[in-house]
Amino acid sequence: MACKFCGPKLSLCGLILSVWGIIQLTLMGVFYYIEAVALLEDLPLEEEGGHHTIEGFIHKVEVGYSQNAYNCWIAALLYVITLVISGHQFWMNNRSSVSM
Amino acid sequence: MGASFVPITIFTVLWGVVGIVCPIFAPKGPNRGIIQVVLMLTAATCWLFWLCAYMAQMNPLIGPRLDNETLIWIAHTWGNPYYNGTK
Amino acid sequence: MFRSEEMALCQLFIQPEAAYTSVSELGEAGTVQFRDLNPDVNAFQRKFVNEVRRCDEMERKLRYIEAEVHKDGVHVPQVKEPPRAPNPREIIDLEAHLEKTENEILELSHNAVNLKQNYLELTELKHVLEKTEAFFIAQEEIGIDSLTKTLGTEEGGQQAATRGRLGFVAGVLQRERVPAFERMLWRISRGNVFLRRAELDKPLEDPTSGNEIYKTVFVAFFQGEQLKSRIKKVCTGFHASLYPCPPSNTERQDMVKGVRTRLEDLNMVLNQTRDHRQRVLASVAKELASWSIMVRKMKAIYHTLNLFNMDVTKKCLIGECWVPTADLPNVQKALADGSNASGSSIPSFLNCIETDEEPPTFNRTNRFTRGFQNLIDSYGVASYRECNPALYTIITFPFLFAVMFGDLGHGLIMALFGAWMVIKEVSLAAKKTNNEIWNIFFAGRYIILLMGCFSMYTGLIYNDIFSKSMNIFGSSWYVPYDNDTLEKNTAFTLDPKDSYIDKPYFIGIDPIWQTADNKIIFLNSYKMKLSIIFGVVHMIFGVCMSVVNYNFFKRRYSIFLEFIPQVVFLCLLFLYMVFMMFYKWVAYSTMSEDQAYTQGCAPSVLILFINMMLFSSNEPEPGCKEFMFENQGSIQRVFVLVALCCIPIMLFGKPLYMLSASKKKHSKTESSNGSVNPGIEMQEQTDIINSQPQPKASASHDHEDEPFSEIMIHQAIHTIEYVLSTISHTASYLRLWALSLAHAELSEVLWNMVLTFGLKDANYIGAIKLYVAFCFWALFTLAILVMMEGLSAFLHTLRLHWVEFMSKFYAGLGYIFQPFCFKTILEQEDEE
Repeated sequence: MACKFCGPKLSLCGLILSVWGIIQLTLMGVFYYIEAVALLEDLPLEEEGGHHTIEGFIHKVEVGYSQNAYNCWIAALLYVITLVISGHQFWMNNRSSVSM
Repeated sequence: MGASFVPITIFTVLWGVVGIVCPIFAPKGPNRGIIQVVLMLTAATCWLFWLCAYMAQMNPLIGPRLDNETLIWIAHTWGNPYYNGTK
Repeated sequence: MFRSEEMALCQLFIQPEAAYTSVSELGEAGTVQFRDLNPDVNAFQRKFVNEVRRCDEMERKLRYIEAEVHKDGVHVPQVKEPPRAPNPREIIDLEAHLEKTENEILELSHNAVNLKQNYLELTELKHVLEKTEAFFIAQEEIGIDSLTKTLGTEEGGQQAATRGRLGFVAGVLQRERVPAFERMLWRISRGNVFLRRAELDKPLEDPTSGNEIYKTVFVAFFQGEQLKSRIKKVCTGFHASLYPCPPSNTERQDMVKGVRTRLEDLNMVLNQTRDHRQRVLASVAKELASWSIMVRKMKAIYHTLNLFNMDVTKKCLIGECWVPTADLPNVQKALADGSNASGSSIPSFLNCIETDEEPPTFNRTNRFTRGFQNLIDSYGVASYRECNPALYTIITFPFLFAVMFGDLGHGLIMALFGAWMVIKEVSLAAKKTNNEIWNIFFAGRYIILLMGCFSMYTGLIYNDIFSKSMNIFGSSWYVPYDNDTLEKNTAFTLDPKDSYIDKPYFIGIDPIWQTADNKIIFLNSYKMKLSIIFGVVHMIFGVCMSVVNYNFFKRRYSIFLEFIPQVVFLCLLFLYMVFMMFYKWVAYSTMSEDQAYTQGCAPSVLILFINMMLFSSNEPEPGCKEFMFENQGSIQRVFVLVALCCIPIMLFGKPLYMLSASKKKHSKTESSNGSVNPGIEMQEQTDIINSQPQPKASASHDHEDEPFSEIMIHQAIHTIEYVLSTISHTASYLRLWALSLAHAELSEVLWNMVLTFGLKDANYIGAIKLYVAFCFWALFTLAILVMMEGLSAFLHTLRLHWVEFMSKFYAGLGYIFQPFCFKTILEQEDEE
């Protein structure tokens, strides 16, 4: 079990980063899910010389929104894993420093 | 005149309560004066800040310039009279 | 907080027996600042020099013991309740105890060094014997080999054989010195020495310093006595330790055995010594912290007593000190306690005296206000009883910072950081570090918290959260085009006339601007006006503060001759400009019926203002009016003329008033009473004071005895500075606009450059990219946007307060009140 591979500072850093990541990415996912206009700029829309119809465009945008929403949530999940790993490391570090 | 009654009242009352009513009920003690000044200044600055933002948009002289994709999407999500009509 | 505390200069009369305990009580209370009553006596001639020396000696011993304790790695526990200063009887006990402990430790370490020296020698001998064993065996073989080889061929071989065995010297040498040693041996013997060496694997311990040394065993074979003495000389030169080594094998083995048993015995003794030392040190370590506090307190007391004066009759000590009037009862009580504790019959007493000297400035702060007070004090300590800008800084500082830093997300990060420090305050404060950056952050934790909170508010108004906007209340803009038009054109500028719902967005900036191409044009005009409005309000507030000061210092004339012209000048010019901005916001509209009030005719406020100052005019566009309202031209003309009239009042008013006032006062002679002459008896005090008028001019009566020309020059400089500064300071507030714009743009760029990288993928690989991109984005956000931008916004806010706000009323000529307090003394020494 004693697989300690990051120091106390790095693990703390990872802890904070992943908490932040989880919160923000989950929220961003929610905003993508409800199709917030502010995030329109960041959609994966391929420029193929303009779209043909408004309906087509809207459909594409909707697909992009839901895609990004899922991507955000997956990334948030990855940060949950990071959180667990760095939390475990942090705990190991703390425990070893206490036992010393 | 593009002022609306509701937001102005809400904000004025909100910051008025913070800046005028709250200082009256500030807890007694050596720090009462400090608390009062802090509350009053907070209310004054925040109210003025909000007021400036509000008034600057009351009578817009220029409109935002947007590209059509954004506009289509805005029309789709925020709704517009024509869009609903033609659909 | 609004003004510094009232201070009183007091005289203390203390019986010499009670002096020590009384001062100790005062030090615990920490409310008085003692003045040096014998500044011309040098440090070695003062009364309590001997006691101070004793304290120094004890401190030295303590330092020695502490060093020993640290060397052995014994943990020194912190004291929970710092002990009070010991009374004189305990001092002697303590001194004796320290002496004893020091000697004990000295002896112990001396013994230990001796034992270790012994141990080292024996170990080395053991090694020499063991290692040389191998050489001798090898050498014997070689010797036999060479003998057999050379027997027939060379005469030299025979000679060697006849001489029998070679002589040799064995010893131990430090490893670094071996090559030099070898070379030297070669040189002195012209190559006739045969050197064998073996390195010791385990390091040996140096007995005196405890360091580890690597050594090498060597054996040098040679021929002849002469060479032997030379080699021995070389060996001593190289600090090699030589050991007797019996040539025969059996003897050697016996010796090894003997050495081993001796080593074991020695090891036991060494362990016992070590245990004993450990016990002694551990028992000392328990008391060490409290002893050192006691000694430091004693030293501080004697230093303070050195500032006192001896009465002529040698019956009491006289001290002078500044005391905040609110704390006088505490001081009385401390004195009473002190004399009770020493059991002296005559109580010590306190006597307030009048003085002309400027008292020190003392602002009582708590942990919330201290950070803000420090911001002000680092510019200049307020003059005595001057109004203290720190009170207003508590809000204006975070607010102006937030105007520049406005972003909900960044504000949240900052607020969380501040809140964490505030919540964990106690445990974080207990952990003392020398990390300067951390200490600065920690000292400003409440400032950071408030800055974060205000940034969240301004970010909400700017509608910026990591450069994105939220549409909570529904935008006030709608799209007035149908689908065909939308499809055919690529970009539109929405016309407020047909696409604006005539009600502004509920709170802050409309979210539609975030996606707009001409966002910056709109934000520029808004933020520029905003910063001027807040700048002018802030400056007028500053000028008004000067009234409070004038009123308090009884300089009513200054209100009329300085304040009113200043405020009129500022209001008529700059507040009027602010008014024009508001008027423009209200009056001009695209929906206006009147052609003069439509979009195309809206005049630039700045150009109107410049024209007003220069009395010039621009030709308006056809169908428009030059001015915003009727008679504006004439009103402006009057305003400027009145403002100009204020300048001569500011310039000549005060000097002329002073001139006439001083003429009136000429007959009156001022009776001034000085600070008390040292060494006088109490009952004669008043007479002596009256007979000795103090020549020093005090600061509160400034200007009065200066010649007219000097006052005039001062006033001229002041006036010119003020008039010019109104313009330059107003312009200086534009930094609010510039920095807030820069911050918003930078955060947008960061979002678009870094985070978008992870969002532009149409499949699930995007999630992994997003994971990486977010990591980088978060790091850059912290490093650049929160840290760097935060720092620059902080510095600009500081400047706005120091220069633009405080220059309007703040003199900052005081000096800080430094009470005699054990707590601060101990903390300071800890930092060193």
